[in-house]
Amino acid sequence: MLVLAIDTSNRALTVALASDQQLLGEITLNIKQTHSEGLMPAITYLFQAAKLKPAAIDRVAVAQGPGSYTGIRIAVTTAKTLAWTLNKELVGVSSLAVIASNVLSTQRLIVPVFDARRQAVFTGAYQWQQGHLVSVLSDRHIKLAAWLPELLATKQPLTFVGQTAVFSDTIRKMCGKQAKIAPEAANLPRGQQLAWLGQQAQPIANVHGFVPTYLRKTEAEATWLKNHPNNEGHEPYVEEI
Amino acid sequence: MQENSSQTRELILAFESSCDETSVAVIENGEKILANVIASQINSQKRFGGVVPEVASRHHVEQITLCAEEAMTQAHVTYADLTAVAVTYGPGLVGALLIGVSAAKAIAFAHQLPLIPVNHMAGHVYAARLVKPLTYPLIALLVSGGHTELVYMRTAGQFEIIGDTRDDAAGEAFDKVGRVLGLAYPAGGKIDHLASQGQDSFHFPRAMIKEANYDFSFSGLKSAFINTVHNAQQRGEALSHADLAASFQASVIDVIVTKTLRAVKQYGVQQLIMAGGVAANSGLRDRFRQEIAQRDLELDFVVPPLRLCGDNGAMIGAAAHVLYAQGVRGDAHLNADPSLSFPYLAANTTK
Amino acid sequence: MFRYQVASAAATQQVGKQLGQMVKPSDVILLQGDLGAGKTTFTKGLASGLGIQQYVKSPTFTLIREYSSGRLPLYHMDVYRLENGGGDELGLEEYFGGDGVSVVEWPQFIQDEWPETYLEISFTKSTDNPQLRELTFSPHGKRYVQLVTQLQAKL
Repeated sequence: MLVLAIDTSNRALTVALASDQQLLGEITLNIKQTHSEGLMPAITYLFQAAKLKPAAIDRVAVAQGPGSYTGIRIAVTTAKTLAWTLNKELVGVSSLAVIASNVLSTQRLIVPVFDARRQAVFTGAYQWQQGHLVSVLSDRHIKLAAWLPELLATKQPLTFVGQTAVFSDTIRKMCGKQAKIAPEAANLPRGQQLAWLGQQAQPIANVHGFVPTYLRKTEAEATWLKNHPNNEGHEPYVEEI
Repeated sequence: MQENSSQTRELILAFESSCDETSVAVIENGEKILANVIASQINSQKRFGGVVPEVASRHHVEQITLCAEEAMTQAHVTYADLTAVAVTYGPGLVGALLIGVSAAKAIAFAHQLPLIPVNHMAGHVYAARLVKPLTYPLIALLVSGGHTELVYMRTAGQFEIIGDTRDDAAGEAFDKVGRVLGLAYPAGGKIDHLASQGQDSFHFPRAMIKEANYDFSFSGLKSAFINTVHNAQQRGEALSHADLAASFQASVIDVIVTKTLRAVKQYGVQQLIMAGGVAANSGLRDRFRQEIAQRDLELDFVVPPLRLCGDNGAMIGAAAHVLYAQGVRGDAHLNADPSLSFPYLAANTTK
Repeated sequence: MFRYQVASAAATQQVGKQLGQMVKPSDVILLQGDLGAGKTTFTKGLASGLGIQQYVKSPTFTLIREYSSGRLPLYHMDVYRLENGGGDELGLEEYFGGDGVSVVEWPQFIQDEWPETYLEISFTKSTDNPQLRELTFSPHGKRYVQLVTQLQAKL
């Protein structure tokens, strides 16, 4: 199975082409740029280098969030459009799982974190079980101060990975010896890992309906729904005219 | 493979997602609409009294491939039939633009088709081409929530701004005034309707109407309107909303029509195009027609039908046809440009 | 805090122009005041003080307009439309920490996004004379105290 993997959830951009277990190529950039400018040239180069036509792929695997809203929209829009227009399979993988899968050969709880500003994180907890990466505590948006006690209560050894730098002091202080912080090299998403995770997942049945996992309502919508619990006849939100 | 039809007809698949409409169209030879699918978010956005960018972007992701599929189906075309893919890359809301740009680039890559980046405002002008052939030189008046521009076109695909708003766009003034009157967003149509029942009794200022340029200003009108309403409130006086709307609209229309027709005369054009969301205003349309008839001008006044005046993919496809012939191409790096603008005509750059 | 009265739009613009000659990269200026209080007029002055030649148009529709032709980039934001929220998703922190000067109209709608230090300017219309405005400068942080002192000396 030939898989194209795409992740632009945060600052880094990573794309890979993998044929079954074999990586054909991966491009990972960790520079400040707009993903809109960087993504399609990277994909184009991968196919050129591999001497493959776009239609040769069997599946597109995309990191569907959480992460930067604009970033996950670019990846998801590109992935779903490619899958739809080429009539190929589409799978969505948690952007947090992609990072968690960098921490190999451990029975510890793997805790990927993305900085969501104002002391909050996008996070979850994963564990390797029979060679599969399993989500143990679901992906969520939560204040770090509320998340750490929940993790400590599992009594399991923890490995934090991802955007850990800003939180490492707090993590060490609150978790003590129960927590380790993964080495820097594990903090970047890798297209190869996404391709591998994407090969194991079930394809999406309805490509059109595929959207990013934001984990948060927009601020405007949250406020509106709080004041208008019945939505007052505004659905459907989008109509063909 | 494509020996038959695609040799004789140029087919462009065009994407538009600059604001709160997701639209995909298939346009034949720059003039014929084979499909023009428009998904409007207005029902969602009016909850917030205006377009919230993050909400708009989220809806675009939900709609983009659905619209594209429906457009291809309605047009009865396959990818092998297509000549190129076109997309609006600005101006607009950056997050919204990025959805169309990402989708269009993916399709161009997947099927190895040329990509044509289109300025949204060029699209508004070329909506008229879907109605009838254009005769250059011409002037286009683009009036919407974000723009009030007079554009001079010497020839196909050449756009120069000869007049622009110096502050608020006309459509923005409608929305802000509507808010003061307690009208729900979008207020333009409601003010137009109210205005038809009232009289211009407040005589608001006609900003810049006599100045020897083609620029506009609606900020002072907005302030005058607000002051009038607030002063009346302080006196405990109730003003007629119909008269307020009529007075406001009369000021907007007076200035726009006067300056536009002056530009038409000075530049000696024989065709005037009006497009953009505010082109839907019946008072504005009627006034142009009246003035043109009264002054006995030999002027072809083209206003595309309502569906083509708002944002849509068809107009992007029509503009792309011209750009394609001129060799304009985008590549895999194409990015959204939210502040994209036409150049200003040299004589008008100094203020 | 420093109060200053202006009697015309031209005078408002002049104050903005003075400030425009003093601002530095990453400065954030929040403009408070009702519709028509002179916020955009002030911003036009500030833009001319930066040496920006283009028209400074209302950014209400696209929320942010960028001007790059002056001494520093100007990021002109108007979040009037975001009364019910939505400002947290605009990526404002990148502008605030950026190479240019950020001017925000209707900042009360994005209060959660305010940086730690900023200059707040309130525009109050006089009730009896529609031309008269009072501008109140409230600096938050050392940089802005200094900026206001500098401006005060020029006016």
